[in-house]
Amino acid sequence: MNSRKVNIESRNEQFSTKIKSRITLEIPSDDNEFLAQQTYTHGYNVLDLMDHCDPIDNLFLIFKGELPNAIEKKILTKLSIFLMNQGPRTIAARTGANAGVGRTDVNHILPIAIMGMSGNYGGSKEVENAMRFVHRNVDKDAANVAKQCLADKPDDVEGDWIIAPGFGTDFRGQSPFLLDVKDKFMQACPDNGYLAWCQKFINALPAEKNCGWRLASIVAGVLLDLGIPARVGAGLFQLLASPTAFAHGVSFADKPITEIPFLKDEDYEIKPI
Amino acid sequence: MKSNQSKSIWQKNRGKISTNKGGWRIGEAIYNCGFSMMDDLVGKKSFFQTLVLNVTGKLPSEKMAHWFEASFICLSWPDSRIWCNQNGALLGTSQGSPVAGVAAGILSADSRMYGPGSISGGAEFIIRALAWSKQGLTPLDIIQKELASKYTKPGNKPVIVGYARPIATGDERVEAMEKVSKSLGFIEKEHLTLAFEIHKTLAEHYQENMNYVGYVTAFLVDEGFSVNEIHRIYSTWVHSGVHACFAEANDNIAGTFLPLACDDIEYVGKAPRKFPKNAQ
Repeated sequence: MNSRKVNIESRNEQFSTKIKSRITLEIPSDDNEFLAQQTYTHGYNVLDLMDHCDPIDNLFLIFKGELPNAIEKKILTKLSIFLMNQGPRTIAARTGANAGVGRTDVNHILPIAIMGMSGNYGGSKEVENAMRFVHRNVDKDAANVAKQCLADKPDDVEGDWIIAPGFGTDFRGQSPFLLDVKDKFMQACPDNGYLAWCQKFINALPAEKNCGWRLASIVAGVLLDLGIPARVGAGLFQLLASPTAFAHGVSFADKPITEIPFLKDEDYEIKPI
Repeated sequence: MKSNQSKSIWQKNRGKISTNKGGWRIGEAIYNCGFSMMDDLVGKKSFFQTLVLNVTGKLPSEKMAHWFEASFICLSWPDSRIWCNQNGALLGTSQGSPVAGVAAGILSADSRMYGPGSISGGAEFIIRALAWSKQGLTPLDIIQKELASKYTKPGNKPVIVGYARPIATGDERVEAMEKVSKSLGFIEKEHLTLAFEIHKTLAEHYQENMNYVGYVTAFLVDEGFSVNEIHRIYSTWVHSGVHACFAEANDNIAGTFLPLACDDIEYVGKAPRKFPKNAQ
């Protein structure tokens, strides 16, 4: 026991004495240092942004530090509108709806819905992991990477066959709507970019087994083409996908609890131990 | 298993739940993993026995539940400088709900650096390390192999999960829990023995020590818990400390916990500039 005893010592690390921000500058008012006289985002006066920007310009500015060019704005607008219009079957919308109908404090519906979209199957974790996978492999031959993934992940699973983060089957099929969405992004994104690499990768997957695009691979390719790193991508996905998740959830906040199915006992099987 | 390209698994589960965990049969009983909650658990088993039962499906012994309870106390620090606790305090000072404050603190500790977020990495390491040890690797071999592996960033500073700690070196909770384990009559087994050998070697060569996650995961793997079970049991690990920090900040005058004046933020971004005329 004695040889296992250790001394507890501070590492004496030099912590910053102030929080740093490269995003926002707040100039204090003359008579109260807790109140701002002027506020700037990446150097632009927020009052000017209010006059001259739309939300997509401002969103891009916040994360990239510069206003978007026409192509970047077009891509981010499409991504925002696509993700903003997710349906009520998503886990995010359903967690929000359970909160809404369960009379959860309405302040919590959005954070609950956002937590609901954080998973590695259909959620932001899958987007993050897909971004890391594509970023790590984009300089490699897509067909060779696909060949290796197929060798590593044989189709011997129940449920969806995921051969790489963000890539595989989608309810054992391929969503026609998602493919149309993907085609729209392919038209807007660079021919030699990340989304284009994703297409090459998918071209080498067995189409007859419906192995290809998932939501995460589309979002990952687009975000990477916008220069967004994986560590930001997960949260940006959550941010952009949150409007309908919240809207679906809060739409139940003034409804009776009977508005959402509560399974009858015959549909809720408690298996014998 | 053969390829399953059908939608049957989803069709089968539409509008139906089939569970081993239990549930409410109105007017009959509430079942937890085969036990009747009101008849078998309430007043007869501890909260931690019930928690572990719900997670694993197996009712642990009283002494195992005591051990878990002690291990939760070890993460109940009421120090509002710690990141998860401070988030609880910030919700407290902004007059948020205690549920939101504590939930924010718990979620904050889903971290690669500390708290339950580091549990899986710690458990997976010691399982891997024992397999390597049985292949003949020494503790130093294991450390070097781990540091060079894809699981950690190669370099001089050891970043083995369970064997480093932010802010300080050494971990007083290891010694405290060793006392608890001995007093409850637990016998040390192979994962924990190896963990201490790695700890000793790491201290000699890298001036780092086993931390609390390293101890807990090695002990629990020895006691038959899986990586997923350990992670799930500890998902709310930090909540007691967050409660404390939320409560105090919430009791104090609103907005007075660590207030920031404009100049308390060091701006390191672009200097103020004119909005470009050609934008839009």
